[in-house]
Amino acid sequence: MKKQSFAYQSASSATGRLTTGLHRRDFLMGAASLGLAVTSPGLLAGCGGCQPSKSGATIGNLRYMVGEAFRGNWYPFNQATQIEAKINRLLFDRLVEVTPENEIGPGLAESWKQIDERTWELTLRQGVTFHGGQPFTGKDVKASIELASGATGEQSVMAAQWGVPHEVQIVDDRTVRLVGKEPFGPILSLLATTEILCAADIEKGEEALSKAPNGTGPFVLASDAPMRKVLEAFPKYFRGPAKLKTTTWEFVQEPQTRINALLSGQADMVDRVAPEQARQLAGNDKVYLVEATSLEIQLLFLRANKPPFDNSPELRRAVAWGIDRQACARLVSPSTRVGESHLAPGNFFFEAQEPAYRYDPERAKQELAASGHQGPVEIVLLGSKGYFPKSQECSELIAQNLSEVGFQVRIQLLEIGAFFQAMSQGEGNLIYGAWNSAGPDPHMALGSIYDPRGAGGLWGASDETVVAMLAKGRSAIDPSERERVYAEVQSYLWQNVPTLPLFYNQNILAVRKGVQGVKLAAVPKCDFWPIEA
Amino acid sequence: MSIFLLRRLCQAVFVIAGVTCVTFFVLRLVPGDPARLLVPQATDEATLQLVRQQLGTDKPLLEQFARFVAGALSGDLGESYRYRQPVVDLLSEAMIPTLALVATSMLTAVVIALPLGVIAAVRPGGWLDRIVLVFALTGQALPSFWLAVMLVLLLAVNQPLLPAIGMESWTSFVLPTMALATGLIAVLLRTVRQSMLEALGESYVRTARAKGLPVVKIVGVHALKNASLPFVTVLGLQLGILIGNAFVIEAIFHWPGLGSLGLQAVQTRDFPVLQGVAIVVAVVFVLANLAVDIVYAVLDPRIRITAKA
Repeated sequence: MKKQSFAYQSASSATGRLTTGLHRRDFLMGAASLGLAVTSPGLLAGCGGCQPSKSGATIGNLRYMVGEAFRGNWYPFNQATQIEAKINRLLFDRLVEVTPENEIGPGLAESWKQIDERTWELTLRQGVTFHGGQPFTGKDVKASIELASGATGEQSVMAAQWGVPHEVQIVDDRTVRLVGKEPFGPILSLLATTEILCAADIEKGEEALSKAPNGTGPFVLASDAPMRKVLEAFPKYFRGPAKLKTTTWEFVQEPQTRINALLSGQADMVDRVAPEQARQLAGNDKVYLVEATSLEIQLLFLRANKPPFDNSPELRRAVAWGIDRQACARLVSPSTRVGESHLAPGNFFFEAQEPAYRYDPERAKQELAASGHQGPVEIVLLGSKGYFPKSQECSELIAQNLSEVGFQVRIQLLEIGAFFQAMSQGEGNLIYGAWNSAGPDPHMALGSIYDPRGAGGLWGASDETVVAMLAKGRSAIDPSERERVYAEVQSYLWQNVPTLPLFYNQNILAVRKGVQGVKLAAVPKCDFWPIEA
Repeated sequence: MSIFLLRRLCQAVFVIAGVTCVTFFVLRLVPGDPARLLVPQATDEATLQLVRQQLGTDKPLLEQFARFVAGALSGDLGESYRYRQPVVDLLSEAMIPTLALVATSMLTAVVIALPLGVIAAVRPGGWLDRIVLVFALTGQALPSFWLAVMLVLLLAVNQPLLPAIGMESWTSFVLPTMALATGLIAVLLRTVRQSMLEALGESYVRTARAKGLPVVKIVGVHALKNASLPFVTVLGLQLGILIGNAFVIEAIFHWPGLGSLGLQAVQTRDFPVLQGVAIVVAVVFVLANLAVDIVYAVLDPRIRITAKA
C-alpha cells in the first residue's frame, strides 16, 4: 500500500509546483525559516551568558522560592494566602510584634499599658514614614484598627479574627487609646497581626488597598508579576535600611524543583522543605536548614454532628487510644513532635495533657465496649492527597490501627479542592486535616475551629460548652485568669476528644550557605530585615 | 487549494468551539469550590458567599456559560480567580515560553533524527544503524519526566553546568529540550529509517543508480522526498504528545509556560485560566494539524485532488 502511494507521489512530483503557484522548495524553505523564527526568542534571549544564572551570588539580593501561589491581593485585612501575609509582614509594620522568643515586643508602639478592662493606651513611635512619604500618626492607627477590628462595620477576615470591635481615641500626637466594646484578652496578639495602613489609603477603599501596598515596613513592593514579587529595601525604615538590597520571591510549585534550584545555585532560600527532603539535605555542604515547630497541628477531626461520634466521648477516646500517633509522627520525620494538647507548644498557655493517649489497643477496645456499640463500627476516613505531609501513609496507618480495635474503616482520599468541598458538605466521620493559627494567642488557635458558627461548621463542631469556655477566655483580661481558663479548655478538649491532635508540623527553610541572619519562629513569619546575602 | 484550506479552517473553528464548550462544563463538574480555596479555612459561610458573588460562581451554570461565550466572542476570557488579572494577559505571557520550548524540541528532534535516520537506512545493519536502533528503542522507552529529573540531577545539581529551573538564558533551554526531544527523536528515527529503507528499495532508485547519479542526489533528493510523507504524518501526530509532555516538563523545570499556569489553575480551581489554557492548546493543536494537512497537500497532490472532488 505504502509502496504504491510513494510511486504515485514520485510520478506526480515531477511538476514540482503547487496549484497556488508556490514552489515546493520555497515552501520548505519558508517552513524552516518559520521554525527558526519561532525558536529564536529563546536562543537570542540567552546570548548574554553561557553560565547558569546565579543571582544568589549577587551581594545584597536574596532569591527566595516559595511553594504557595500568590493571589495578587495586598489588602492585609482580607488576606487569603499565607504567602501574601508573609510578604505583608515585610511591607507593613504593626503596633506590637511577636519576638523570636515568642513574647510581645514593641513595634510602631514603643510602650503600652492597660487603663481599664476595655481600654489600652499606646505610645507611638515618632519619625516613622510610609513608603509613599506620609508621616505615621495616630490617625493611621485609628483608621487601621477600627477597620481591622470591625468597628467601621466592614466585613473582613481580620474583623472575624478580632471578634470585638475597638474604637481608637487620639489623645495627642504620640498617644492613642483603644477602647473595646467588651473586655478582650487577646488584644496584644491581635495587634501583633494587624498591619497599620495609611489613613489616606484607607479612604480610597479596598480595591485600591489590594493593588498598591503602602506600609512603613522594611521593604517596598517594587515589582508585582503574578509568579514573582520583587521587594526593595526601604531606605527610610525606622530601624535603619535592611541589609538586603532586594529580595525576589518566586512561586515554584514542585518541592523537588525548589530544592534543585537551591542546589544548582539559582535560589538562596526555599520554603516548605518536606521532612524527607530535610534528611537528604542535612549533610549537604552547600546549604543549611532552619527549623521551627510551627503552630500548625495535624488533627483528626471526629465529626460531631452525625453518628457514630456525636454524643459518644467513649467512642472518641477509643479512637485516641487506638491510633499509634507516635508511628504517625515518625512517618513524617523522627523529630516530629506528637500532639500533646489542642494548642501547639508555640501558643501561649500551652500545657501538655494527661493521659498521653499512648497507643493502647486494649484500652481502645474497653472504651469501644463502654460506648455501647455492638459489632464493628463503620466509619469513613476522609483525607487528601499531596497537601499535608504523608497524608496517605498516615491515613492508611490510622485505618489499620482502628480496624484492629473494632472499627471498620473505609478510606476516602481526595485531591485538596475536592477534599475541602467534601468536608464542607458533611462527608466523612474522621477527617485527616490540619489547623494553623495566625498568632500565638490561644484565642486565635481555638476561637474559630471549635465554634459551630466559625470554621467549626466545616467539621460539625457542636459543643456549646467549649464555645462558652472560649468566650470566657476571650474576655478574661488578667493573664493568670487567662492561663487558668485555657488550662481548663485544653483539659476539656483532651478528655472529650472532639479532635485528636496527631503531631505538630515543622516549618523548615533550606538556606544557601553564605546567607546569614535567617531566623524562623513558630508564628509563620521570617524577619528579612537582618538577613545578609 | 483555497477550497481545501477554507474547508479545513471551517472544521478548525468547529473543533475549537466544541473543545471550549466541553471543557467549560467538564471543569465545572470537577468537585471543589474555587471560593473555598481562595479564603482561609476560618472563613464563615457569609464571607464565602460574598467571594462566590465576586467570582460569579454563585450564578446558574448556563448563565455563567452565556457570560463566558459573550466575553470570549469579544476576546475577553475573564479574570483569573487567583491572580486577579485578565486571562488573556496571563495566557499571552505563558504562551511564548511553551511554544518556544515545543518548537526548539521539535526542531532539535528533526535536525538530529532526519540525517541519522537517512544514514542508518543507507547502510542497514551497519554500526551506525545498530546505534540508531538501540537509541530509538531506549529513547521511546524512557519517560520524559524521568529523563528530566535525571538530567537535572546530573547536569544541574551534581555538576552545576546548566540551570535547573526557569527560562533565563539560552542555556535554560538545553535540559528541558533534551528531556522533551529525546522521545520524539526516537520516534522520528524509526520512522525516517523505515520509510527510507522502503524508498531506497523502489524501482526509481534502482533506475537512478543505473543512470550513475551520485548517491547523495539519489538519497537526498529522490528517496528522501518520497520518504517524507510518513515523517510529516508522525511529526504532526507527535505535536499533541509533545505539548502534553511539555506540561509535565514545565512543572519539573519551573518553565513559565502554559503547563505551569494550567497546573496551578487546576489546584486552585481557577476556571477562567484553565478554560483559557484549554482553548490555546486546542487552537495550537488544530493549527498544527492544519499545517500538516497543507504540507500533505504540498507533498502529495492526490490529497488536493480528493479535496477538490
